Amino acid sequence: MGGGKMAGILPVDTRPWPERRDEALANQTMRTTISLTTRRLQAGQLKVFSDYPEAEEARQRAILDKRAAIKDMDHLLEQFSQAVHEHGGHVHLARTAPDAVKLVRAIAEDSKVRRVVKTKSMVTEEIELNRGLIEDGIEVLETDLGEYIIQRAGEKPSHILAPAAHKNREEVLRLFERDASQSGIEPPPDDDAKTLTQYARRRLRQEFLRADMGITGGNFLVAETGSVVLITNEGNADLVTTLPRVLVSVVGVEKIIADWQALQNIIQQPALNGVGQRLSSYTTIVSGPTGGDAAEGPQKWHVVLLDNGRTGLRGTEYEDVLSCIRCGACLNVCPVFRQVGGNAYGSVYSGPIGVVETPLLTEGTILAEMPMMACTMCHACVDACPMDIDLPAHILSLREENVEKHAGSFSTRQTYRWWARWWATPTGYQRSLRMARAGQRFYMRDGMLRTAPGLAKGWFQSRNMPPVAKETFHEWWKRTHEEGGDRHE
Amino acid sequence: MENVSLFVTCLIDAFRPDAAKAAVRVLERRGCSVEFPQQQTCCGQFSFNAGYQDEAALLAKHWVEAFEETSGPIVALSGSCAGMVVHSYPDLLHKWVLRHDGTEAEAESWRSRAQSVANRVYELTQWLTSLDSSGAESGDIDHSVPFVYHLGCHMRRLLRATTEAQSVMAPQGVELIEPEEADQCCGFGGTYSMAEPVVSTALADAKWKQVGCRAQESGAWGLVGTDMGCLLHLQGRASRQHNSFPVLYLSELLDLVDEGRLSPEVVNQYGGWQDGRNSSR
Amino acid sequence: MKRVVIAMNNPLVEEFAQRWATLGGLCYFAEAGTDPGAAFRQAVGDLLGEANGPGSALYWSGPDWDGKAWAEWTRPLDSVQFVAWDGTPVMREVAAGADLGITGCSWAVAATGSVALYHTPLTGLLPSVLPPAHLVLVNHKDIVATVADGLGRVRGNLPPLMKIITGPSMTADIEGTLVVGVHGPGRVAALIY
Repeated sequence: MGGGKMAGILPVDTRPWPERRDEALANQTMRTTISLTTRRLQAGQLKVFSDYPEAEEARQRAILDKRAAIKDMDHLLEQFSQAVHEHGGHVHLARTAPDAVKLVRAIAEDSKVRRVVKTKSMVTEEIELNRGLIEDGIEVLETDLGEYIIQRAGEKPSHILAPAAHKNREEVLRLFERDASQSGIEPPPDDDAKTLTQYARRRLRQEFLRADMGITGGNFLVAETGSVVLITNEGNADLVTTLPRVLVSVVGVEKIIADWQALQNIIQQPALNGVGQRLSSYTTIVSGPTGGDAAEGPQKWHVVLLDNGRTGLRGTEYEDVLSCIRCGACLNVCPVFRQVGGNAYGSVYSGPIGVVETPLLTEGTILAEMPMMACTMCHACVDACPMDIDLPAHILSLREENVEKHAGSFSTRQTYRWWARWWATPTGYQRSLRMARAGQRFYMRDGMLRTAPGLAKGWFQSRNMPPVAKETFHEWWKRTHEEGGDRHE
Repeated sequence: MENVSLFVTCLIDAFRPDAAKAAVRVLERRGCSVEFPQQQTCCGQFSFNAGYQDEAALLAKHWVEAFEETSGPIVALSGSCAGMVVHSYPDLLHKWVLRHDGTEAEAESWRSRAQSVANRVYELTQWLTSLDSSGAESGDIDHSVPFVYHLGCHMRRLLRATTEAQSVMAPQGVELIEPEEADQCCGFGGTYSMAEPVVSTALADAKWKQVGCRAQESGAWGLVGTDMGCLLHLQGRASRQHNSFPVLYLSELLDLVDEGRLSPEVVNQYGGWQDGRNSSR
Repeated sequence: MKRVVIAMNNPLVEEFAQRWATLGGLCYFAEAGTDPGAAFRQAVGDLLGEANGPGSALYWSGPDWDGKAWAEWTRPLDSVQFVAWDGTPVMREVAAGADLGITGCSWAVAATGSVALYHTPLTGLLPSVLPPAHLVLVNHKDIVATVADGLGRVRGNLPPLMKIITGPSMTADIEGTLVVGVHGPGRVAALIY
């Protein structure tokens, strides 16, 4: 299935980063909720591993399995397709996002589909599937509570696991009241989280029962058995996979694992690392349609395997990015994410993994500035990643690529160049400090530096700085240890 | 008597030489003979983290050459700069040689030169905890003076030196308490603080909020840290906001204890920046 | 809420029950070899709660309870209407309208407090997810130590659809507040026999 490599196409918020950033920082509701959510999930991950050593052992095995599966991807996808065919399902390969949308639209048309219910799926966000189906006059409903909320608001998910983390209860109530009046059912009586959830249950229950197509993503593809594994806490994947007559699973090719043994190793990792549970409430494994006259399960099952730039990462230093299990652990620990939330990243993939993955999948055509703008190099993400993806190293490499492509300004590059040249010799280094000391009085007030030219300008937007000392340590040492002789015995 | 070489870092050299002088005194009191290799400049982390690998390699090469002249332990006054040498130098120089058409043998040779110097690097508190005696004898401690401790990200995650500072200070009657969300970066990030000042500052404000809460609960006298980059960033922010909570480098605090000068009045002098604070003692 | 608890003196059972309870599930025990009828009726009563007057329960037969046993278990519960799952499409509406779903399970996992259900023509998954409450009957011999052990049992015997249930349906999507009973049941109980 390999063939030529092709850049992926991802949706992008085309507003410049400062605009997205400032909008996020001004949204106190979002910041409070994102902070609470990420802290809770981070604590959950730490706690669940603390008294469950088997989870760590399984994680180590899962990393090896996953790395091997990426290497052997072509063969495994072949095996997966064959197994699905044997069980009566159909497998399609989509090279790019538009290809995938076209495939799903054709399936829907073929089966005369009017109503679609969906589980939460990053891949379908990535290909903007809903828009394509709606264009065909099909009604598409998200059924994950968080996704349902943001679909009502016409917004994008702000966290992989908590898509509506930027919405508070009052906002949700207003959205649901409008939704209720449009669908002619009783609105929620108040803005209690339980009441709001009960409303969504009622509202979506009727849709589940009359939908004719279900669309899911997939957490894992098991090559040996031709299975798609879905993990949810709400139970919506169970309904999406059992009630509609047609089921379409849209899954990235990198989700492939070799066999049932590999599934045993990895199956708990999304829940352990994502939400701090040993297993999510519902793990659903689909391996085939159930046939024509059954009470449950699809009559037809299609799997759309999405490449969209993924195979282009194989054989590169970034290959381990394809091991991502979308647990969100790197988002939860990232200091920048905790401040700005997911939407500021401008891509469906946010946080440290998104900063790396978005430019990589699109061959740097979108959001190439994010590795510079959204990372302090704190290394928290690589510690949190269950798949040991070396995100800081990748962010550094992407920064380096940016420098090589001369993405920065000429003056910035010159600054770094001369800085290094001067400071690579002790004389140049000391001379530059003496020059700074001589010139700094123009930038000082009350004994502190208040502004500075060039690269350092950004610092002084919001911070002061002490001046270069009247006597540096170098100078002090020279004065006290050379002129007066060695004072050590 | 152990001979150690001091790696002061460019930030301390230029902006807070008192912290290095305090470190010299602290080390000498604990039986170390301190040498200062005068060829040293900067570890190059600023360039490295910004994606300027050639520039970083230039500084890294110089650093390795400067410290190859020494033998014995190298004591670094920064967890982050120590992390740079230990974690990044060998690969950085290896790659640099190959990128400039060097042979694999040459690349390997630079890698191993960097590695062998890196093997001698200790961050200050790592070195102090490795000493047999913790230095100045202190009797039974009936009460501890609380300070909020800021542990930098690279010291936490690249050096994994998460308890050393507490081990050094506890026998001295100083309790170092981490704030809530201690694992969250303060926003310094080298040139990140200049390239993306808005997020960097939002992080500084979040850090100060947690430091403030912890200080209030514990009655902490000040904030102490082991990375001057973080401290300049945090104190620079505080200074702009007229917050004069004292900020000390760990060597400065330990030196005050050693000299029996630890008092609220003395510590308060580390709050805010006034003209003359950087003059030598 | 009353629970019938009979110690089974089996570490796997105890671990399963403890984890199941941690997740918010109710646990009922019937000593191996004894009639589980009393524990069953207790569980049904507790789950139907206020609806414990007229109520409807959709169930499927398991290998360990045939029609005769079932009739004896349920006879005293004359206010509850029991409907047997027959695998026909009409079952969708029945499941959607039922107050309680009652199923068996193919295996259960001690380390996680999970139960696994396979879709077959006679054993549907819908009773476990559409009604607001779910009672699962767990033979203590089917409790294995780990998820891997359980999945190992599926090898070579893979149904087109299967699910592993670990606690009630839940969400924290609104302000991080934990709410149970989103699309699946908010009340779950296990009867271990």
